[in-house]
Amino acid sequence: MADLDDHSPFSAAPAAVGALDPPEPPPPLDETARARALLAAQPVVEGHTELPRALDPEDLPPVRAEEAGAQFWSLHVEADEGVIGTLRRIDSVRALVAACPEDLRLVYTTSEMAHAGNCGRVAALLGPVGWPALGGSAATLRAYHALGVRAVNLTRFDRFARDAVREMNRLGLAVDLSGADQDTVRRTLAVTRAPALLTRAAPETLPDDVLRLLGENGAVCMVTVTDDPAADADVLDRVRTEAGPRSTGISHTTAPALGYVPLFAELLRRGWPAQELVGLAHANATRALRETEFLSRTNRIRPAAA
Amino acid sequence: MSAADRLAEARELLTAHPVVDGHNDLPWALREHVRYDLDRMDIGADQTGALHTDLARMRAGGVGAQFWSVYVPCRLAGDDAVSATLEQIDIVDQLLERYAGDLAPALTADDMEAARKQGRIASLKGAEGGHSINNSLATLRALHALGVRYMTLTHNDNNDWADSATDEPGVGGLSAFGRVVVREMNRSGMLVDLSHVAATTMRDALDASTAPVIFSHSSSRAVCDHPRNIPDDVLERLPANGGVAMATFVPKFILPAAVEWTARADDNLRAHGFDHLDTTAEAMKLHRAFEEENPRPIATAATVADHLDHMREAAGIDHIGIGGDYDGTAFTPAGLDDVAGYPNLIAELLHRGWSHPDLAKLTWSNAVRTLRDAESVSRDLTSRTAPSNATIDVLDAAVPADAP
Repeated sequence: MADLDDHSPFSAAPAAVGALDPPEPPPPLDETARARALLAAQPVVEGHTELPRALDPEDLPPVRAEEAGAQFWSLHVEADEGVIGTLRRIDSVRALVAACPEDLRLVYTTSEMAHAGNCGRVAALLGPVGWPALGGSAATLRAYHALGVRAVNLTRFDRFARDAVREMNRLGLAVDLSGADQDTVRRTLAVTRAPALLTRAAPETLPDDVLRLLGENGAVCMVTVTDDPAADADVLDRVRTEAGPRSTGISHTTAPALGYVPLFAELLRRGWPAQELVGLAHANATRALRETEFLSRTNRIRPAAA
Repeated sequence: MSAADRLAEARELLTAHPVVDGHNDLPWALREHVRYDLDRMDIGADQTGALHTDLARMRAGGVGAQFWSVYVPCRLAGDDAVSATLEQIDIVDQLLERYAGDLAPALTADDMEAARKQGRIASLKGAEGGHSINNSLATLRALHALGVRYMTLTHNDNNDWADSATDEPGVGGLSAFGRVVVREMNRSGMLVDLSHVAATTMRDALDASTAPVIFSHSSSRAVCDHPRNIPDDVLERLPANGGVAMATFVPKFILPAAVEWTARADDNLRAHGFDHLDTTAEAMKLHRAFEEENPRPIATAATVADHLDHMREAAGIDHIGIGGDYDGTAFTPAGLDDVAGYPNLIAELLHRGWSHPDLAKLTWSNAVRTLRDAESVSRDLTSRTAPSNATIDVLDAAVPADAP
């Protein structure tokens, strides 16, 4: 009406009531509110979750940040636990998920991840298993994959690693380079044809050129979030600068009660576009996993490695 | 009817009602001979002389379903046994991928029927020996998830929770943990296999199991008194249990003369300071010398038929089957030399007056029904009970002698 009034022959007439005044534009949302809104629609894929020591039914589901939409469940075991320890861990995660059917759902593919989210469940991915738990055996690697494991943490580029990485590409197992030294990272990236994951990345231990290599590979550096958003944002800024915005991701938070809103608010203040924050929350990790699946599908026509 | 006619009739019967064989050790043979290099030992080609098993001879033998043994020896313990079992499972999966036109992966009775309709050989996996799970129920469930559909509770040696037929009495059958293993197998839908176990273990397992059990490769102790065979009181419990005893072909278990001959041959090796299972060149040389002086008694299809006649009397026609143990035994009966031999056994049974419906139960339907019934028990238990996380050190903790 106000617009029409401007051209009215009676425009000189004084406005009768204040209701016809143009409404005040709403105050701009502060970064915290924007971060909260963004995360509500874009739940986080967490690279690292640990099985609780004891499964007390009172404590189910296990504590997590409320913004989590999918979680990798670590299957790392002590050095002396070996294959059996890993099988036990897989069995325990399955039991835990089965005990919380309204809350968690075991998933094996990115489509199942999306479906779990649509059903209001947090997706549980099995992995990574530790490198020693393979015992240098491709058969064990394939058994883990058959049991639903989707990531293996390669920490040492030994004689087995080259064949194992190729077999992981063939099967659709993500190569997790968390904790690997830069030499191992370089040699693995020279072999793998799928994007690597670093489910517990520590970018401060990797030089810039290795971060750039990870960026070229499409790898995702999933970083640990603390209660200090500024420090975390510094780490992510460096990953974004060196490896690129497609290589950022979240590992887990040491302060689940605080969640991810403070970090995302800080990154908004530093000018990260919303699209890159979506990548950080889940899109980068999901993309890396989906590319791993695609590569596997084209690779599966090759026979198994010995 | 001539022998040739009976053989033709046997072959025709087997096209409609092929053999479900309970035990074949091809995976271990591939590990021993060629370190799993399938290019060097191609079962798509003729392996006569090298193996008892190849695809063409399985077809000729009328095999419709095979439980492939993912056996690992008792000398492997702990994690090594588990890893080796995973490798055995893996090579079966590789065979299934490689020979997909002939071998169909099967996890259920329905899969077996579907494979038969497609004209492929349903392929199932069976673990041989509780040492493969290293006292871990989580590992048992993992083996099930990887497709293992039976586990023989022991192999030649006792394990911590079950006694073997060929070892000294240990826990006296099944321990408390052993009974939980049986129940967890019932729950997950893995058949309890009582070949190789002591008679005490057989009885304990029949008490503990709510699902039908199998004997994947064992014959009758009444016909040939060998610990690897099944006593009559156990066979007589099968109708109530619903399970199936699959007669084996291993001459040194089924032919009394061969049992006696083997004992003398073993004594001969031991007298020269070798273990009776030694297969080194020196030991084999001694063994061959013994064999030249003492001709090895030969079993035939009639020997196996003698067992089946008796097992049928004791357990009933609905509770018997076939488990050849090909590639798991050095010697085989004449006429049942390799996996192409089953028609000779069927012809012998036809000669003895077995009817077609009886033979169809023996070859195919008893085994399929047993798996189907075990699946049904599993569905029931899974809906009512949670997986067990019991541990052997709690359940089988020794009670102090001076406990009040």
